[in-house]
Amino acid sequence: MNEALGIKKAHPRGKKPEIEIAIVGNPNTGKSTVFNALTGMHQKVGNYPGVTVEKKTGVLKNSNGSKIRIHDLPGLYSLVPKSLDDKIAVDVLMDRLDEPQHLKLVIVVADATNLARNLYLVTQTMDLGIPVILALNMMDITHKRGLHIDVDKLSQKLNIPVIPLVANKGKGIEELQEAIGKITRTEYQYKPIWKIDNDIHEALLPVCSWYKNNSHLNETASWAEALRVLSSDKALENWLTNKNGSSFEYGIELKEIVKNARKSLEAHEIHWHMFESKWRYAWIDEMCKDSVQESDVGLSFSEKLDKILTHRIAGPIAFVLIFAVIFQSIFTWAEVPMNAIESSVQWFSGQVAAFLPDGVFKGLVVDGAIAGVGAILVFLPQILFLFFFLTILEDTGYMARVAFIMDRFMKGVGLSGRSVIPLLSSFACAVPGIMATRTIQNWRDRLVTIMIAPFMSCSARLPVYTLMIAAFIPGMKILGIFSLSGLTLLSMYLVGIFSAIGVAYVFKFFVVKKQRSSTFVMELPPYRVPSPKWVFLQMYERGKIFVLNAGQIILAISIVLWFLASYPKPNHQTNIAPAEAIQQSYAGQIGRFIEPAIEPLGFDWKIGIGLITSFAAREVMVSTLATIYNVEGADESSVSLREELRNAKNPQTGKPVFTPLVAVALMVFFVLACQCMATVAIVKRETNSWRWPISMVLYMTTMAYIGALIVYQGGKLLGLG
Amino acid sequence: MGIQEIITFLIVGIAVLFAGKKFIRQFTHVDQELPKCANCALNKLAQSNIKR
Amino acid sequence: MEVDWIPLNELKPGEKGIIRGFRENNSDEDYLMELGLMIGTAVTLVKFAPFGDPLEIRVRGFFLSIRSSEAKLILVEKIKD
Repeated sequence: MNEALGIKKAHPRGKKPEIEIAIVGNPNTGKSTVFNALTGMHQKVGNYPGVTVEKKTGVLKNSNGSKIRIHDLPGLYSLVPKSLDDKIAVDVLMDRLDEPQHLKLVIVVADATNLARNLYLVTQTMDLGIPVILALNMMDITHKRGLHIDVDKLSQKLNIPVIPLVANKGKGIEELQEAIGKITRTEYQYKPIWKIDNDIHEALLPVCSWYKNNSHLNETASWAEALRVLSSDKALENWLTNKNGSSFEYGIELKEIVKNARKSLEAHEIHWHMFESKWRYAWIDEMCKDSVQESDVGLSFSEKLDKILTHRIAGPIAFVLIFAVIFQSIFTWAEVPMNAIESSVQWFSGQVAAFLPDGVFKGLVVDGAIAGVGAILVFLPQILFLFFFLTILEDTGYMARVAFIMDRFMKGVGLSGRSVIPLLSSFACAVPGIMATRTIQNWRDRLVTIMIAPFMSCSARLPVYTLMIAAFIPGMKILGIFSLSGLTLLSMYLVGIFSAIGVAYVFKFFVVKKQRSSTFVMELPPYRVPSPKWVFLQMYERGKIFVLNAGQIILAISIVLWFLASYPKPNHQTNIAPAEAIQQSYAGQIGRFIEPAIEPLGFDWKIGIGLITSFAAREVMVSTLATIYNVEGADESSVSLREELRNAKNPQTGKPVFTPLVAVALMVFFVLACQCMATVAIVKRETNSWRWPISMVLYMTTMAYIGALIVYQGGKLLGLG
Repeated sequence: MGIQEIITFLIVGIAVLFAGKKFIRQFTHVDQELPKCANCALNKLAQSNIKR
Repeated sequence: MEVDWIPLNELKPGEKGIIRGFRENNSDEDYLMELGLMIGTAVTLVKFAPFGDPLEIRVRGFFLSIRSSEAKLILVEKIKD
């Protein structure tokens, strides 16, 4: 807490200084589970300075004496960084951050069923000259897969502690904690266990010296990094430019030295390209021959499941079915609890209205607070269903399969399968979806993905869609099975998706040129059973935020809006209908002011007010309409918002304010409009400039206006309005 | 009536300040994550998806 | 290059091969090498994605999705089971 406030706490007497350690590993090794087991509740999330990469640290439980702080670094396959996340992980390990960490220990979490590939990172990490513990996770699966790993032999050969774990069952965690305690208390001497030939040693010498003089790397790490940059241009790049893309001054010098080193190797008839990888795997393969025994046990469960889920025909069908189920649930199955909440709110409103004496205060409470907040609370079940399914999808590993199936299509718009997961996440909320683009290595692909993410209709738009559809789309069935309501909802999502495709095209051809062709190499991890605890925790957390949000910002806005819609009060002498009165209120005046601009879209001023307030949060649209119509409504009978909207009549013309056409136009507006400041903020942070978020607001607003215009005017021309 | 109105307007005033502060913060603190986004379960989900 | 070396993407689903060479020196191949695809490594072509691309391979006990454009740069010697 004090750290967050920037206050430095003076060391209490006798308190030992903190020890910094890190935990790394390949993706999908259960690293997070291990981290959570080690740190329990003592976790903190922040940001690395200057970059939008999440910094996750925790304090070790049971650390007797000194405080051990553990850094959970992003998962990576090798110390050659390929994405921003990788780069941060590598920078932390090599002490290249502005605030060097001086790590005393690195725990590498490895997947025992995948030992060889995991050992690549392990050996690289060992060569940093820092103590390493190999946390060998998923040991239970090794037996199922017919793998027998001689842990003692492995430990002997690597000369480091190897702790077998089944992290998600808590097995081995104690031993790991013990090992951590032991190592952090002793002095460490690096004992090299692999050797490099003399020729290579000679060639590396100048590069190694350069690192010793120009970086924080110790002797061992300097050799290892020298070997790495010699072998890989990508590794070298990491030292030539900093995170913002500008060149380091010493870059030219380093480049020259490396070039000469490579020439010298070629002179000895040794090919420098990817030398490190070949060299390491040769050692690893040799070692695995002794320590790992394999026996054939046939297909794993994942492989069998994938026979269906990525099957040529069954795969896409399964995909459609899965998303149809999710769709159905958030629209139809959520209906029962939603109606229950709606009735409760109405009942509550009635009770309060009967209880309070007539007057201003009652208006505030009933028409402002309860109407506004109640209108939003109704949608809680939908949100929960959405998150339930998305969490399950992500937790099982199915998302990777979606990326696998969709890559072909993504290529068509200039992206890759790597964009699929961020875009799918954006259907819940664009902010984490945009953050998830950090795994996209190619800057252009990443930028385009970021820019189109907001078109994936997020969960905040759901209340608006649902309200409009429930109120104005007739409940008929097409072809006997498909409900028109469901189809309309689907159409809204499709409008978003097709608009995204269009924008991606524009970017591909006109805006940003690709520097080099992007690749799509992705691991298809084994399926895992989603942890019920984790799923419900996510639902609970999200539900909590939804309700808190409703209780705070939406409540505040509803109150303010109530005030604006109720004042100035008309002269008591004249008998003005409430509908007239509200037009003379502040809200009415503001609304009438902008009405000319939105009239071509079929929107009246009340909708206009909603468009303004929905910039706070899209779902506020619903609250706004609820409050305004409640203030206007003279009687106290509880009528659902749907009914209110259906009955709304334009006081001048007497015609209904809302028709199905207007409802659709409004929905289309919401699909395309950029109304979320949080999104604008995250785009600015992730792209490091104002250029992109500002253009996004501009073109999205334009698209929203034109879209709604086409729908409304076009619809009228066709006689639909 | 008088007290009612005072209380009501007081509440409205607080709401205005609260909403106004949050609104302006969105623009002035663009570089900091919004608290609701930072603590959002989705955010954590997306992160764990990358790092798992 | 020997005659019975074929690009990885020309294997049929279920077929196995030993990597014998790489066609071009591009940085994409670097990534694959770091994951353990080296000369001498055995790979199995599991399947092609529903729409033809990418393809799924099994190597060193795990599964990778790679595009045909990347796979065709990897030359393998087909193993008969």
